Amino acid sequence: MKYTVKKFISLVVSLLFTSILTFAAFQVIPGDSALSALGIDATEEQLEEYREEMGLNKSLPVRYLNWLKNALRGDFGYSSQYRMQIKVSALIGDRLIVTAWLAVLSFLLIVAVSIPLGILSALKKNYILDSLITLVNQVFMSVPSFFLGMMITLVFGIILKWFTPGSYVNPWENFRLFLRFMIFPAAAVAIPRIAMVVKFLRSSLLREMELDYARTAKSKGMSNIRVLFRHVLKNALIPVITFLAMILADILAGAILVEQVFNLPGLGRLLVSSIANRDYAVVQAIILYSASVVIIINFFVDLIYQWIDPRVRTG
Amino acid sequence: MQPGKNKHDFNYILGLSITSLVLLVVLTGFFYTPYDPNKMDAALRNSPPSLLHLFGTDNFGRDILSRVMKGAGTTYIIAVSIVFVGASLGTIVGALTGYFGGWFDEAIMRLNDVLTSFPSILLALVFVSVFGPGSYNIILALGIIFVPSYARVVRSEFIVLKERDFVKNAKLMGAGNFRIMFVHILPNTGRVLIPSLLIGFNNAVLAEAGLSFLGLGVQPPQASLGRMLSEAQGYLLDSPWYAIAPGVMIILTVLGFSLISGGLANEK
Amino acid sequence: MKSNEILLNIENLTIGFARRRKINTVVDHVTLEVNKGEILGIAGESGSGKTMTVLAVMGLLPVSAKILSGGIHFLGKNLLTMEEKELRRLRGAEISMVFQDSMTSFNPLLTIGAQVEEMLRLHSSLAKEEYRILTLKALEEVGLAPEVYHMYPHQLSGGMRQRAMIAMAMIAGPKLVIADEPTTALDVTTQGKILELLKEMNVKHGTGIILISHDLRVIQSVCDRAVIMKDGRIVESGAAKVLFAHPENEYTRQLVESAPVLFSETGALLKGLDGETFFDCNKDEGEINGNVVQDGTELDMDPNGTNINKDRNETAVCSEWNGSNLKEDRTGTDLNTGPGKDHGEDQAKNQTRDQTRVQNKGKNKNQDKDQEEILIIKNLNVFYPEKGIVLPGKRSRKQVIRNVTISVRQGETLGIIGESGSGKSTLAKAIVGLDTEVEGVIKINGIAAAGSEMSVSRPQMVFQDPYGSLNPMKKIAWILEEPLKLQTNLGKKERMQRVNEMIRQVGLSPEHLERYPHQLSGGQRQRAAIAAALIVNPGLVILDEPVSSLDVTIQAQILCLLKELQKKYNLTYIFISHDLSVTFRFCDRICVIYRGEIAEVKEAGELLCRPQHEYTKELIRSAMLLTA
Repeated sequence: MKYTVKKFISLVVSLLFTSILTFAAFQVIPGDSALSALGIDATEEQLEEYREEMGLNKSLPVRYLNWLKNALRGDFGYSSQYRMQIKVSALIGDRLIVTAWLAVLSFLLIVAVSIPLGILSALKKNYILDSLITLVNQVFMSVPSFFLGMMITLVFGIILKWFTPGSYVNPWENFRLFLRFMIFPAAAVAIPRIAMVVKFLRSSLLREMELDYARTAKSKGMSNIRVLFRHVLKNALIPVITFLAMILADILAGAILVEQVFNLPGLGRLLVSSIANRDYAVVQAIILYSASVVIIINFFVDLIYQWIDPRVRTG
Repeated sequence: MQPGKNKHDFNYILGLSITSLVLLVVLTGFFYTPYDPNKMDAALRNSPPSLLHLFGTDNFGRDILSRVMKGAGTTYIIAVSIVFVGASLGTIVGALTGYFGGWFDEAIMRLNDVLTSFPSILLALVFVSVFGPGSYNIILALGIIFVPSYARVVRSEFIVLKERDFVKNAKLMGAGNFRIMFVHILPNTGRVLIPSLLIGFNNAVLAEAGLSFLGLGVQPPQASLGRMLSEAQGYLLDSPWYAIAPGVMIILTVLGFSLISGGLANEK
Repeated sequence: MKSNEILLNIENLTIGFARRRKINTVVDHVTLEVNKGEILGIAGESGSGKTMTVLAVMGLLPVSAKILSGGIHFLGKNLLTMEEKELRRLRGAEISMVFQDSMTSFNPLLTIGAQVEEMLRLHSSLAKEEYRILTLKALEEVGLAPEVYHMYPHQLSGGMRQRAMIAMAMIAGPKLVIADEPTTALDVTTQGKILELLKEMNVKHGTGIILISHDLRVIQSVCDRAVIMKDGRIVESGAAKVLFAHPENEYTRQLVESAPVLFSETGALLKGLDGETFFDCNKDEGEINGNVVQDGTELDMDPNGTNINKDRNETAVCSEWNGSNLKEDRTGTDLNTGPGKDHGEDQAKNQTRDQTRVQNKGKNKNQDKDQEEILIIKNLNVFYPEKGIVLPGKRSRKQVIRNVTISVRQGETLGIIGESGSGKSTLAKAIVGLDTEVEGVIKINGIAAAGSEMSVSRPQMVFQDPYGSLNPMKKIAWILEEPLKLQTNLGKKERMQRVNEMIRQVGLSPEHLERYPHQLSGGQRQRAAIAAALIVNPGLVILDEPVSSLDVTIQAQILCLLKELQKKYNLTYIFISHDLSVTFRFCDRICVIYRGEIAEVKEAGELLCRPQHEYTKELIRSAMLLTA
């Protein structure tokens, strides 16, 4: 209980910290944000009115608190690249779903493929196989997601014609076609990370297999496979959980690039175009969203720890 | 260090060979390229690999091999600079926080936790959106973003090492804090610092490629591996070889260094 | 012990590790047998192959180890040719094992109950409830409460975990239990109890036991027969009592002599480092026992006429070790008369000193009190900051040392004993000034040191693990030179001269200066560490378990070296140890620390023969239990 409270406090502190950083980062931008929002044609009165309306004349802490208050309600103001006609929240809403699907699909792929593969690769151990597994893993880890995306487009889209590049379908128009298309970008995001998790899980399993308690289990007359599943796996998965949480954060990064390759209307592309158009309200919102997701995931990982590890549970 | 003694002999040697090959190509690129990497030739637009142009030409008729040689050089210089900025600052921060501990350490580590839980490219994007795109900004942005990872590595080593008896001994002998930190402890962190420099270089190469791919890194007409991939994306249908050469170059670079650092980490 | 039926028979067993086409033999033609219901001890230093031998019996050798020749028969069945499946049925049910480190040998994520019960489940098919009942019964038998069933390994003490481990090993009713250093990770007080428990199991169930230990006392106390191993070979074997009383093999003799055998069978004799130091507490009070000294020097006798005798024969292990009551006053404050200078002193002067010493030897111990006190501690309290979120300016702390008052005289050796966690190391750190949270008075050479920077006659320390106390990235020369750089104004040439002299003083040669610590053996490393501590001529030296990480044969050499150097440089030692026998042999006076407080401080012999504090009695009793 004490542990949960401690972790919760740490969650709130981290979130606050993140919001301050996100807010503060954009305060150092040179130039007049009213001017950049309204354009150079705006009159002095319009600018002044805008500043008054946005609270730009107030002190920094007050502006932060206002921004945070609105942000908590999901209100990030209007997007300047759409000439202040569209709310940031509306802009993000649609695209969030695309990116979320991409992330979830890749994560499922990673977990579904890497955990069995990791266990399998740890079962047999000899010099040549070891080197080969390490090498194959290393090769896949070295491929950048966006290059992999391009190669997938080339092989499966252009040569094999399993899908038409750029033929993205909205999930609410046709969900099956959406999924059929999304599986390719998801694979591009997932494959390098599958290799990472396999490597990590494998070394964790091999390390745990060497420990005293595994030897004790063997001395009881258990077979190696039984020792692995009954004793070692759970212990070996503890660090893997943290690693998977890190991977989840990393997926977001991969998604930004892969969306670009597959022309997906997701948060990543919105982010890149907002940066190019100096649309700071949108950039701030996206950064705050993704950072919060990462932090909240880490909080849940801490809770999972408590659930599986009695040493955490009972101090 | 005796490479012959570690478990992944074969992979370590393979890594060394790949890296030597890649470095040879890149270093040659600084002095000599088969063609002028920026010379356009309309007659040669999108021509497939041939004896004259080993990796073909791009949509402006530029020789892809020459551009890869030059572009990889740009990528490498940027990556080395990033690692230099990140590792030197990170080492200082890690040494101070690890050695002294206390509330200062707590605060810095909280900040570190928040920063490292972000994907680095996301942070780099924030940086670029604030300061604008370009090679120097990328070096600065990614360098600073890499600080926490080095700080963490160095800090955890310092925390372990400062409890070791040889440090207590140094204190008893009357060595000052800074002498203990940088003369007694720091040389002992090499074991973990050197592999993490190699990994950091890889991450920097990938991050540069990613940012330039998004058009936020190296600006044209300068070539870098990410920049080339970004340009190649539009011509995947007509000239797929345009993408393959820089892509393979990135893979080989990253692969070589990770095999080497894997071999180093396996040593006892 | 029912019959002489052979339970386990190992014949000509040879095990090797293959490394790059070269085979490194770790067990070399070992032949031994275990009879039903007998306890066989296997003794030997680390790396002697004793663990590999028994792991081969269990079929648990590391993958890289190969059995090169020989056979292992259990009740007539060849274990080496047995199918893996059949072997698994044997493991746990017929032969089970008790491991050294009970913390790491239990799965941290499962309850003790689940892990003990699992052994039963693997080898029998009963109703669910029955498993539970039998497990609880097994726990009860080893003296554990039923609550332990639901507890996790980290919630138990080391002794309790080791009991649970024994319950687990015994629950399926095996005929042979292999206990690999079952008491090494435990405190002295717990060690005896665990051995008693093993003996009890052996008697009650007639289980054969192989007991592996590097500690001869452990072997001697419970084993019927024993074998001594060295470098993978059995050097001697026989009935335990006979073997240790009359060792025939040279190595066994060396081991027995240098081993910390605290008490003889009469329960009162200590064999000393120098071969013949005795604490002979005769039970008949008033009767003076023993002019057991060969060289004719006078005896140390208590003025009360009691029967505590202590003397040393200088012909044995340490040829140069004399008594430690030095008369010559050297406060050690002057840094410039370093060891080198001292060493270069006239031989004649040394001789006079020796003579003084011989004369002093016979004198009453009480005279020592006139000697100058080099260290005075008054009302010392030491705190540790509490772990957790530390806010600036706000701190909670835990008291580790309570109200300690003690003084150390020039030239004496004060021993500090206590269990791990008793605060003995904290006390040492406080004395040298490594801990900042200190209240009270610490005076070294009359200079107050508590809380303040010490600039003069900084005491030095020799740590337990020389591998940890020498900077692994620096050469020995650099390590020895560093304190001179920091504390003296000597030039490079003079410093190197001093380094070269010092390295010889500790029995190493100048060629060792160009090596890194990992290129030296354990004993050489500790010599280098001693050189580094003494090079600035500290006067007061804290020895924090200086021999605990070394093999017994090396231990004696290092202790001798320390005594020799103490004499040469007129050093004062504070010797911290958890090992009673080493402490009694090495120290003049002993201070017992219990839960952060001084339980008692006495002359070594007095403490051994007439402990006052309950905890001291308990300590000595438990050490005796081992050989009872």
